[in-house]
Amino acid sequence: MSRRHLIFLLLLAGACLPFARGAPTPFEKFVTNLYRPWQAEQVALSPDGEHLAYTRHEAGNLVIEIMTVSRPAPKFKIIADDDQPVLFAKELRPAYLRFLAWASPTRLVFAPVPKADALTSITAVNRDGTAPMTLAAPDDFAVTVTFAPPGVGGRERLTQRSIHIVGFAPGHRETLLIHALGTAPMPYATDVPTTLVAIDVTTGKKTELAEETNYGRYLPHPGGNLHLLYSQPRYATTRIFELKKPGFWDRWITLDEAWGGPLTKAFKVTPENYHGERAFPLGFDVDPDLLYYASNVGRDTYGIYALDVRKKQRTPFAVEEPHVDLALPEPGDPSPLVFDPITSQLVGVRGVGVAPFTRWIDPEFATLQQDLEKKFPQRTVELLQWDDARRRLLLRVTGGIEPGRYHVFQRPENVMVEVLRSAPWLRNADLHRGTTFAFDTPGGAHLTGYLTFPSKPRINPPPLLIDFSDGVMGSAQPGFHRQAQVLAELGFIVARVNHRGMSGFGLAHRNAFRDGGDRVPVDDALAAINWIAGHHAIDRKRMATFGRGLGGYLALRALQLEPDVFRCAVAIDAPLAPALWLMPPLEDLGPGSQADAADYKILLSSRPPPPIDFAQEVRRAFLLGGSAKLTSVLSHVETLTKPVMLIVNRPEDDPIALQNAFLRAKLSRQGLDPELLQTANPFAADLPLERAKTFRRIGEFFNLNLYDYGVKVGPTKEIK
Amino acid sequence: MNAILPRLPVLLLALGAGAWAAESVPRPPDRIIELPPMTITDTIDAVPWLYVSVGDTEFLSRCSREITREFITTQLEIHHTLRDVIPPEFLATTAIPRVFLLLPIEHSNIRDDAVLRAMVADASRPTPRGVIPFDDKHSKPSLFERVLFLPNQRLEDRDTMAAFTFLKESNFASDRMIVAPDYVRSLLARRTPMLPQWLIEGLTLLYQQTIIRAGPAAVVPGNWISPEDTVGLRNSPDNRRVLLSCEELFAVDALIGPDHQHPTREIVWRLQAALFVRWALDHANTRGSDVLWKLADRVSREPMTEKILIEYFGLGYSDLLERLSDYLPNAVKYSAGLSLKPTPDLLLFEITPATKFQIARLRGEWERLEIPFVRAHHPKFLPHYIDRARLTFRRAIALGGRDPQFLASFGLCELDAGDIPAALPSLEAAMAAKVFRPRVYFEVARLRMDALARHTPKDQQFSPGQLQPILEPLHTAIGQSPPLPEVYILAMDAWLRCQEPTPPGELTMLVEAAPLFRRHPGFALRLALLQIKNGQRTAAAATLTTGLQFLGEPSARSRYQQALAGLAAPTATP
Repeated sequence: MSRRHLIFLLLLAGACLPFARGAPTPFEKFVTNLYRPWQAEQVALSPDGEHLAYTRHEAGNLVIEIMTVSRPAPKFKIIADDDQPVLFAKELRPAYLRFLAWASPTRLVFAPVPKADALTSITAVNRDGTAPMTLAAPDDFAVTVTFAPPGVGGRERLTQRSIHIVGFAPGHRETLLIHALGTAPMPYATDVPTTLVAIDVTTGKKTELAEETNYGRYLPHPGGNLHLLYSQPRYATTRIFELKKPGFWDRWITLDEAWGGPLTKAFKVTPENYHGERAFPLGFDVDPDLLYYASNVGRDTYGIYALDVRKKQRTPFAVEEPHVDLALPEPGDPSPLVFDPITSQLVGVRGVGVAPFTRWIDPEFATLQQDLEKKFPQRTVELLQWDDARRRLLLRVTGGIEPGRYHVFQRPENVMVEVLRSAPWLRNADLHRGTTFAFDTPGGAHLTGYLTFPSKPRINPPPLLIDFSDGVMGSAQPGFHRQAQVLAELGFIVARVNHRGMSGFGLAHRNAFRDGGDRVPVDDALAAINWIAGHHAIDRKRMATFGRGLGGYLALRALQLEPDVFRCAVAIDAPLAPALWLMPPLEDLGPGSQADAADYKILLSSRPPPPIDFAQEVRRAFLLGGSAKLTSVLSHVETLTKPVMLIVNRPEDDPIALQNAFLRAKLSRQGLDPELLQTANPFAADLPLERAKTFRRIGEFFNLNLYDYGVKVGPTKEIK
Repeated sequence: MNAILPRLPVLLLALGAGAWAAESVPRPPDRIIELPPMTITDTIDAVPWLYVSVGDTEFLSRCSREITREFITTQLEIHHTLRDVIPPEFLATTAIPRVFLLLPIEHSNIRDDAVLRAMVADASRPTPRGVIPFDDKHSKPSLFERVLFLPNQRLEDRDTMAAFTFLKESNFASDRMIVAPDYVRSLLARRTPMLPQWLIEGLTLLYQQTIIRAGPAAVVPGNWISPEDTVGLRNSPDNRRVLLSCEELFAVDALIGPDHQHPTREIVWRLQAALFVRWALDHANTRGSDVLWKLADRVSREPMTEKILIEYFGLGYSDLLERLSDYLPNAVKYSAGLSLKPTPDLLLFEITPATKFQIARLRGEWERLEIPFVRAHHPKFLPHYIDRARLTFRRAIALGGRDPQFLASFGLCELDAGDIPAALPSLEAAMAAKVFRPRVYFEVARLRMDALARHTPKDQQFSPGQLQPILEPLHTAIGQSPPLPEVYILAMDAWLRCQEPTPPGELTMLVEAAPLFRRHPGFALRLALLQIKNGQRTAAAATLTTGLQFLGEPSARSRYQQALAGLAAPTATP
């Protein structure tokens, strides 16, 4: 071996050393950086507009940083919570805040998101770190519950109650309103009530304002009073809204036709009408006789309206949007209603279409929104908060190539102060450009979606990946999408189609799936491909599908239904036989099932029956209650003739894991031998390092099955 | 002695740094009266004037030959480098040589007390109303103490420029000379087609931050809107970043209107313009500086739009804003290298003793240019400056000076002094001698137009024959460099008052000139009126629509919009 060869080999070895030692590759670094917890997941502008508090993660802690807006000044840090260890993993699960707000220009209130094993406190602190105070701790609201089934002696148990933060009392930021939440009534047990408590954020003094034993979700009211309840009975599938009429013996009444007028007929909620035509209250105005509600009765999308409870009539107030639901089907958080913190007046209604938007009722904000959008073309501008004088406004700018930047618009100076970036460790030059699209299919469906273009495609024109994301019943996604960025890094143009069956785009859009089955989203994907091909260069010989959950199911069904169009598919945690997946587990049959009456008595004597899983009932009603049945991937395995990759982030005995293992075995018998990636540690599958490993394997799968130039590529087939 | 003299070394130090413009000298307190330098006391006749003509500049120097040579060589070098940083096609050119007066500070008297006493005495004389201007009896120092002759200054006319510098020969350091920023700005602002304001400001500020005379050319770390912001960004890229949107940065009304004039906004706009230019020239960010220059050429003819930005940089306005924001911490912390071409051999020049006529012409030109400046800033001192300029010219005339350039300067001197009857013969004589001086032709045409229109109704129309003496000199001016918008505007005004339609060739010539002056508020409006007069209503609407895109001034925009509305209205049937 010559000296030159030796030097070359040494250099090569040196270059490979980092990888040999297990150092992350540039691709893995890209993925882990994308999935790091972002800055400013919670952010709050002080009432005088002078300070900004925001969250960031630092050395295993969730930190609140406080910065000065008007001038450069040192930032002050408060450790709010610590990240949590994950079983069998080196990574920590990041902590988050559920509440961050200024009680005054100097005093801050925050509360971490409760962890699985513990409830968390609410804390107040001055912006310089002085006068810290725990405003509410789980023990503060514990109640004693007596459990006394027949034949068994009564037992007492101290039960902690979860805390729901309502917000500051209108016009009184020094008072924080919270609900100590009750629980659903249990047989033989005393009730755990819901208590409304006012807390002075300076002294910590707590004052109980009201207490109710009715179980359900108390909707926030500017005055804090508990007089609107979304009841959630334990053993019934019908939910109603109840109203407390102070003038009528101070009792709860059903908000029905008798008490709310004809339109409140639509307020009843069942699994069958959940995704259908109905209406539901959102909350009261500062005027207690004015109730805002969402309704899609007689129209396609949810609009926002107001009901005068005293007159039992609808007011002229109406905010409507074609193609976009202005409310999610579940009342409560996040509420689409935006109230001014000073006046408590409704100033706007937020919506989530292809991009988040706000319909401002306050004309000043409406004008400002228009002006601000002109400053950031091709971006989504959200006016988040403002100071009391409305001289400084906090904006979030997202979309395109931008994960998120926060600006304070200083109106007197007419300048922007960029105060924060969601992910300052990501360079825009390294990211992939994104855009939205909208078109009407030949069949008349209005489709929207997102495209992410690879900045360095491996081949030209680039291949196209249809990402079904979370699939049916999923909702609109952010313009900047981490997964789309990773897939674009693999060289794809990534298309995320808001196909029919997804929520948030109106009744007809969602229910088309219920009546048309899995063919509908696949047809939408084909229509999107045609549209994309008409506007951008794509390699129609190299198209693949991708999805997670029901999106994974759709990815595989697309490969079964259109084998000439798609070359391969990746499905993550896909329920391959949705009907089986939606069947309730045996132990959850409950009293409403066909359980044997004698056995039921025995069961009842030993323990209370499990509550109704309303969300699962809703899914079942939607996916299985329509005229079209969902075809099982497993029942037509022979139609899967193209390479598939199955990824399972669940324990091996999970029904979805079992279904995927079954599919792999059947395909192997067919000689297709699909790749099955069973995540070693399901608890850490959503953490950055695990994701990076998974995406690396996905990249290898595509390298083998899509970019392999040795593969004979069939003729292009025009999609009809 | 007084409050001024102790500051002299500081001023000279600034001069040593090669600053041409008065604004580069540390500003004296508000009550100081800054007057242009005067070379009035010829007490050093033994020191000869030297003359050099090289490139586009004529130098008149009383410094030593060695210092004169070094100074001029350095001038040639730094101007060459300026054109390396900013391509020459983006700098204004003129066929009329610049005038440069160079005097040694040791042999001069920048504050001639005798002269000053006379000037102050005149200036302090009671006005007809009995008020003594300037000299506040209860304030100190007195007017005499407050007057300061600037040690160096640059003055401009519509078609030429002159500069005056006092130089300290004993410690003259040529390596500290730069082209003064306001001169760079002037060269950019006078360029035709006219450049957008953001580009002018951006390039000017960038040039200020460029080191070109020591080692490889580089742009030094810049400053942001305040020392605190600069230090903050240098210490942490997470510091706040005060910015304008790119829509506003490139807008024609970026600093026009009550909402756009906050001092913070103004400084952000200027610095962000420079940041964009720096970013675009930094090879680490883009595909090379050529992209910026291609864009610059495009936006001199078209209004800047997001589409154009995408075309050249592949980025939209929001993308660019994010890139600039992320570039900002680097720009205030690190230098950026510039790749310049090697300096070619400089032009050779010869230093000769100046003739009396050369001295009179160049000094006279300088003294003539002082007149409008003093009239605008310190009118009470004007008579002395007028007298001095006239004396210089008349001495040379007495000795037989009849050079066309000399006559042109003298005529313009009298014109600026306000003596039209005295000015006209010299201007006519210079014109007859086919002098290369567009302003001369313009002024003659203007005076003729005034004479023709005087004592006539405003709507009086004239025959082509009557207008011919006006249009003829204007045609000559149009054929000369630099192109002056007022020449075209006067021609259009003349044709607007003509009884006959405008000849097609003439109208075409005016239409073809429009791209040169897109950002001139009156040009497109005049052209549109002329097109309307000639029945070209569609073309007029297009001219107005295009012109409107380049205008930010509300009053000018309003005039254009009114004209467009008038065009949209149905025409009255005769």
